[in-house]
Amino acid sequence: MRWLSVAVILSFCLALAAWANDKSSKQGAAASTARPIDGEQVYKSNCTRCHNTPPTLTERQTRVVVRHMRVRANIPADQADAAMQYLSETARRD
Amino acid sequence: MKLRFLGVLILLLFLGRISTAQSAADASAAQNQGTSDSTRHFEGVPIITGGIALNASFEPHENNMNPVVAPIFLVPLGRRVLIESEVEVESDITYSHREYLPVTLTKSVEYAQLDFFAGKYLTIVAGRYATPFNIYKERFDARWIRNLSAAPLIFPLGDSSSNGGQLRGAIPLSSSAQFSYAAYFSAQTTNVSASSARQSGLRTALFFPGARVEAGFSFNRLLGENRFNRFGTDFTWNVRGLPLDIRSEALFSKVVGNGYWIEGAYRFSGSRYPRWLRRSQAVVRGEQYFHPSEGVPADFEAPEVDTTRLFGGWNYWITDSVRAQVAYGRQFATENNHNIWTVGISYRFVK
Repeated sequence: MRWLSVAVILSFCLALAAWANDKSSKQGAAASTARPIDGEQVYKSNCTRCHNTPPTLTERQTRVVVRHMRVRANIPADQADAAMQYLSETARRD
Repeated sequence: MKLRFLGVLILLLFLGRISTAQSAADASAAQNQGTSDSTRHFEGVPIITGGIALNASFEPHENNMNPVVAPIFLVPLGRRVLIESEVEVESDITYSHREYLPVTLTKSVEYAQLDFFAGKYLTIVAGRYATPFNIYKERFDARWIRNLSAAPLIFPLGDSSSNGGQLRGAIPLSSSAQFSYAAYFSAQTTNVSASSARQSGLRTALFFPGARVEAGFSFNRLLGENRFNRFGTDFTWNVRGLPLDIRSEALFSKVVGNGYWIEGAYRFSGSRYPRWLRRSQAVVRGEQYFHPSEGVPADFEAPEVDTTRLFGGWNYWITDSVRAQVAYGRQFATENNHNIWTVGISYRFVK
């Protein structure tokens, strides 16, 4: 019974992710003409609601920090990419 | 055994499905847009980040000082994997009833996890991770992030790290709403620096990026010797147009008690304020804890009676990475009403 409940919860999460992924891939072609995600808005909505502006990092450091925060703050990949693009513009040169 | 097999089979089927769909989506996006994407072209470097803090609290008959060092190690491995770990070393120096108590040094691994980015909306986490119960542990616990150096009264009742696996991610429902989830299972481990309980649970939340509002629901069931449920709700609101943050959490459990806290933090960032004030933030927090009639199990750190606490604090960023804090609180509990003063300084670093 215990395993059944764990399996049901995990399956639900996976089914949800699979459904969303499927939907997103079907909309792939349409997305190329759709309005791009605003990285600055993503940054303001997700990052600064918990902490103040981080120190200026290099682009390669920024990529890793955004990836870390993608997990910690549950940010979808395309939004994390948009935030990274935005932060890369202000990143230090390596 | 059959159920276990069935569970693993379902997992593998879905993972295969998601990976295939993700590859197709990546290829399609690359063909259509020719844009860069963190998953396709990832060039990262290992990083050490984290925080250092020194906090002190002053209560009647007891003064306490807590130096804390909490480095975070981030190591990217290829396009789809990140290894991340946080180690916390904390000392407790207590002067109580006119004598120093033995100084303690606590070393703990907050998390040491491998993140596999299986798709846009799914990350598989394996190893030791911060248990996603309510929001404080994952988002606000870092010393350089928390608005008040004293953690909420209910925080120790939901605070834990787990050793096991976790599925998590976020799915946009529309342009103005996002659903996030984290479901986990943890095995019992008795290692002194990386202990964990046998437990499972989930946290789901709705996030409205435009309004910057997030409301979450958490469920946790302990499956070891003590078997009981804990429920949690959390709410955060970054008020647009005002530099005001509202955060709150509630915990409900027949075994460890019920409680809540609500916190408001106002940053004096407008140009109408003098320049020195623009680096300041005023914080207030109200919280209550209701003790269960049968007492709390010894593993949990909780007030022994119903307790109400009010805090007012002031934060000042000396630089973007160094913050000083001072706060005054008043605790109301049966025959134990008293004042609490806290001061602290924290430093955030990235190398």
